[in-house]
Amino acid sequence: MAKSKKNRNGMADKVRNTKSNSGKKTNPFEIRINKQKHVVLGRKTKHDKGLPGLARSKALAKRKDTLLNEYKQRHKSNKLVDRRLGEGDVLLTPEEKIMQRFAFEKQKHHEKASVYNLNDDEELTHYGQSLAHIEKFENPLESDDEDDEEMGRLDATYVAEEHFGGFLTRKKDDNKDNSMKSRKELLEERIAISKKEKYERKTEKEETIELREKLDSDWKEISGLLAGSKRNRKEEALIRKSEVDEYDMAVRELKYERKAKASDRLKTADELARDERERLEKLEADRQRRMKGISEEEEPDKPEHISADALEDNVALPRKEKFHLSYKEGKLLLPAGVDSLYSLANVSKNNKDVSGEENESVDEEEENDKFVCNDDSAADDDDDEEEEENAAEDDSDGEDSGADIESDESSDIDDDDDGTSQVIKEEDEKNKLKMIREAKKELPYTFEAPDSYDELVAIIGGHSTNNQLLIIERIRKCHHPSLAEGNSEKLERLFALLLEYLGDLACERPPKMGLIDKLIRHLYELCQNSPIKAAETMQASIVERYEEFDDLCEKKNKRKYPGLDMLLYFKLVSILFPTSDFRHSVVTPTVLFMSQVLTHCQPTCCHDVAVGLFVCNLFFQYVSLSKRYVPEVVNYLYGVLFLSVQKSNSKLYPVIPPFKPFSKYSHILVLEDTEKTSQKDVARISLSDMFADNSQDNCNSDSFRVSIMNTCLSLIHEFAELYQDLPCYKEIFTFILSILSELEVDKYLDQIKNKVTNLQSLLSNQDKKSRDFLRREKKKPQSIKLYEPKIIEDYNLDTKRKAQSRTQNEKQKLISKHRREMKGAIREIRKDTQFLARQKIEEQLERDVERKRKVKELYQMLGTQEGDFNALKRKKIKF
Amino acid sequence: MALPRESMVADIKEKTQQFLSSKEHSNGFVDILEYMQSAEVGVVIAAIKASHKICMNLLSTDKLYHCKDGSSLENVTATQKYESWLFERYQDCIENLINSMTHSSSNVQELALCTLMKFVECESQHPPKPHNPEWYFPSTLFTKIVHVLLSTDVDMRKLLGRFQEYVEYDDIRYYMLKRITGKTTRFKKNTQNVDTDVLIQNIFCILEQISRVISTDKEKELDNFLTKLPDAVDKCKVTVQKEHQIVFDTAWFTLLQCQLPNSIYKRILILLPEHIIPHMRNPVLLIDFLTASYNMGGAISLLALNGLFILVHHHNLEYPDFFKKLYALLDPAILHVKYRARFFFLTDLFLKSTHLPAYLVAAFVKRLSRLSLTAPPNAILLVIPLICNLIHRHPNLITLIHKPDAQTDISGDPYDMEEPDPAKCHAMESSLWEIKTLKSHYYHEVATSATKIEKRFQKEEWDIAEYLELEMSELIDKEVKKKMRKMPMEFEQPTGLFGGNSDKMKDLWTL
Repeated sequence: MAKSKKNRNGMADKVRNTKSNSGKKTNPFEIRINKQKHVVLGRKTKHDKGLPGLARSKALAKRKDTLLNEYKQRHKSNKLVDRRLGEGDVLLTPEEKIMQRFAFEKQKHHEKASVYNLNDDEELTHYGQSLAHIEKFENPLESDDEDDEEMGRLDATYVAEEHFGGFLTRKKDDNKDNSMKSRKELLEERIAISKKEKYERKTEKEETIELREKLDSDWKEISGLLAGSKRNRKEEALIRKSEVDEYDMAVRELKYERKAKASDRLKTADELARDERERLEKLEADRQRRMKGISEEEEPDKPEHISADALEDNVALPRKEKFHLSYKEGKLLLPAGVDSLYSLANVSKNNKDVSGEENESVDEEEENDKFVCNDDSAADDDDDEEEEENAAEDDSDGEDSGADIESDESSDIDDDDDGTSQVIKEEDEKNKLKMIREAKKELPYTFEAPDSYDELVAIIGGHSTNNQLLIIERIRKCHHPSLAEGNSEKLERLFALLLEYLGDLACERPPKMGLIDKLIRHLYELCQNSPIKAAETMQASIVERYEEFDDLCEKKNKRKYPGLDMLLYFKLVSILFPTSDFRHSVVTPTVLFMSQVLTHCQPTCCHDVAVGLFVCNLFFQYVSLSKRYVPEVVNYLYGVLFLSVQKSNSKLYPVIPPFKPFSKYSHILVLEDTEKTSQKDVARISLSDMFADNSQDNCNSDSFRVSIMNTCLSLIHEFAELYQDLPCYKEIFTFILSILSELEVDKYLDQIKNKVTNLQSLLSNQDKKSRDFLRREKKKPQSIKLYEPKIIEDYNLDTKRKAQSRTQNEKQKLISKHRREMKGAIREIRKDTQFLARQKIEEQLERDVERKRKVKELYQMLGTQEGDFNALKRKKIKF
Repeated sequence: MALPRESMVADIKEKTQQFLSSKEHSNGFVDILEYMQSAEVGVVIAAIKASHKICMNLLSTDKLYHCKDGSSLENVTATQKYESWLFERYQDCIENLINSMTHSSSNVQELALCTLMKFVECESQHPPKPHNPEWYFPSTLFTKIVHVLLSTDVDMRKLLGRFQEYVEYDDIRYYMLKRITGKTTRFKKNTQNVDTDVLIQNIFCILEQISRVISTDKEKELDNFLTKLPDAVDKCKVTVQKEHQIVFDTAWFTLLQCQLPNSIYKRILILLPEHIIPHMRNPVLLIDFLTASYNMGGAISLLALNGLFILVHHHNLEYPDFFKKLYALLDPAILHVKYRARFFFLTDLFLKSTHLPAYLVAAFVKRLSRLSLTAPPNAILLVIPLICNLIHRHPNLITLIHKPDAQTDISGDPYDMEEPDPAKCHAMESSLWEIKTLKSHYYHEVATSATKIEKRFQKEEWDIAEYLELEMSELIDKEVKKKMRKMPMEFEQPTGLFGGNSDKMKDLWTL
């Protein structure tokens, strides 16, 4: 029975235990399962089930902790702050709390005590070790000899015998020695022994070194016998080389040739042309797109921008043909057709050759010879320089250099092959010396890239036009970006400096137009290498000039037409950058500047008008592809016609600033001489004449006026054709058409006369063009909602929206996060208010109950009183 | 005098002390007055300060006796004699101070002016002896001051700037305006006087100040007095608002009748709407002046129109052809001139009403768009939103940009640019081809802006304020500030300055 009782007890325990365990499990009725609309395989969901009851109670508890406290404190101005260490921390055990407080107390104490100890916390060191440690002498410094580590220590037997009272081992024949030697003697003995050991070790080491050296020298002697080393025996090597098999050479040659061929096969003429066409088509398409102002993101297949390297690999730059150098009797052998393709450096150098006897091949030979014979020739020139020159010659082709070295070697062999006799060699030597002398007269082959404008002028200044160009060419080659790091920066700087140089050249009188013309190519190529930097430079110089111009404009009557440098910059922009883009960081400011020139500067002489017309023509160049409308140009051209018309006082011409209807300058273009005889043939206007010293005389002649008229009419014609599609064509050209009829055409040459009649017919023909009324684009009809599934290709589960640009994505993310947080915050606030309301109503109820209780009490009291009173009364009545 | 400056200053101080301490040293005052003519600025200032101290003392202790004529000197006491002598010295002192107001040093000028104004204040509170009415304004003294301030040959604008603080007092302002009117009428009579500009400039300067400080509140009590506030409030003219307005009106009208220099003319026209018309009793009288100004043309016409507009708008003035005149002002040069911002600000203001007839607004729209064909980019950027706003205000004008059911082909624009009457120019039958043309303008912002007319308008109007003062340099700045990410380059290689294949210049120019 008892047993069974016990058993039963055990069962009960079991049951109770299991119950208590399952108590931790949540009641299934309290779990809320969020239904998923669509089950997606492989997706992990965080919020598939929740415990609303638990969450609610948690939130309630938290509110009680925080909000309720605050609520209770709301009318209190004082506050008790518990600053005791670790008081609020539940995680800390009482012991830990005590420890913390103790430590804090100590620290406080310590801090107070050490206020007046000045150098207490500084630790003195010696060789990075604290002196405090060293002073304890725990770790005495060891002897200087680092390699014998055990040296300083006493050996084991000694330690065993002498230390710790010597009881660790039993000493041998202790009775004898011990009595005889005192401790001092013993120590001396030990020292002697250790010294001796040290000496022995040293000698052994020396011996080893000696032996090794001997072995080395022996090996050197023998090694000469063992194998043919070329290193130190030049002659031997030469002999060996001469003995080189023809076959070996052929093999080597083939080896290298194959490599070269594999890298790029020469394209046929057809292929080249096709490639070029494709490239241009691609670029043209790109240009069209930019003209319309479509950004690249909108265009799905964006054409890749041409990098400078790509340009070079293709066709833009004239490339040097590769061929093997081979010599015959000291003369360079060139494959047919190579002459023409030869690098510009050599060609121009030839131009400089004074003697004229030496032809190109000799020149080339001289260079190569110099290179080969660096070691034995007097080497007047710097070795480095030579190498750099060679590198420059290699130009961009890295793989070429290998071939070059090879070819040098082979030429060397050839030399020796042909000239085994000393005589030829001596002749060669003479030739070399002569060439070196001549070379000294020539330009150096390498130049440092200039850092400042002064340096550039120092390098270039004083040379002839051709030499200047040559120098620039060489600077560019020496600092080709593929040669060394930092070269591209140097070239960028060179671009800026050349730009400045160009401006200065234009400011000279007369301007050096020839050099400027040639510089354009260099600027273009430099610009292609580093577009952004170049654009920044160009933009900066345009803006700088604009600010000058703007300042002048602010001051009245000082509005001056820009000089040649400015005009050339305008032109340069159109050469370097695409002018048809919808917006372009360099072109747009330039265009705005140009328009300012046309609207702000009143022309006071024929020269000014010519400058204005140049700007008009530039505008034509800028907009010729995009066909954009430039009001300023039309105004200006009308103004120019106005200036050339003989005006009667009564009529008011609707001219637009900078032209004024009545001013002393309004007749500057009217021909002075009524006879045609004084007019020469109509010529193109020359920029150098315009900006020469005597420009005023040049420009004030009737022939110049005729040229201006010619230019103006041509420009009007061009623009009239360009703007044919504009809806306001008639309105734009109506004033020009009316003033053309007032022009005294008889005074001009027939050529001009014809132009005027042509123009008139062109303009009046266009007049009759019909036009449509404006109509807004129709609103897109709303599409009816489709119930077919919308299929998105490459749908991604993780991202809800389609991929956008990075910033947009980030923004979207932030927005949604903000929205989520906002929602959460609002919900929290709502719950807080609910909680508070509940709290208040609870309090109210409590107060009501209290009040009721009190009222009841009072009534009770009154009742009893009344009762008592009545009882008394009754008693009185009774009595 | 050979004495160094310090000793002179010390002397002045000593004499002042002595004068204040006893009657015996009264002659010291004469010496102090002499010091006032010294060449040293420091001495002059010290002397002015000293005389200020002395005279204030004399005035506040009633020691001055003003005898009208020398005849009655026999039957006066010695004290009265002494006091009348003091009064004469006081007059001398005033003379000296008046002279100092045209001193070369501005410090002295200002000090003299302030001292004199202090005298004005003090004298009205303690008038010289026999004269003792209830309320007294020292008009002789004040007239003298005004005479110097409104000098005919010295530009007093700087000193007038100092005077501004006194103009804020109602009484000073009132008497000032009265004196100004008197001065101008007197001056107008003898117009043979050639150099009038300085006087007019001075008068204008003070009037401008007055117009700026005057309060618009008509019910406000006039009690901000420098001098003693009169007790019997109703009797005095100074305290009546209406009198003030009348004086203000007459002062301005007399000035406007003079031959005004151009700059002042413009300034007056600018001041008119905000600072003059609101304070006037009868601004409609300005109509003659404004009409005359309109006929002068250019910027002045426009400014005159602004004044006229206010008269029409707030003062029930009947002015026919107002808009016709405004329409006539829109000529091609208007978009190039300096005062463009003000012009378009006002044009926008004039055309704000939605009750204007559609044909009129259409004419304006059409004309503006025609002008934009020859305008610089910054002006176009202003004109396009303005046009859009006008269409926005007048939904009828949508036909200008959207005419779906009209015949398709017409030979030319029905709008007649030469017609001066907006009613007859057929603007409503036209379309804004000009803006469509501007879609291919070379400046990208203009091109983008021009596309506005093609799209559906936004709910609210465009803000044109940011475009009003737009300068070309700002446009360039904006372009330059944009960061360059990619730099497209020209792909066609040049062979020289005029060398490229697509070069359009080689036919007309050589190197």
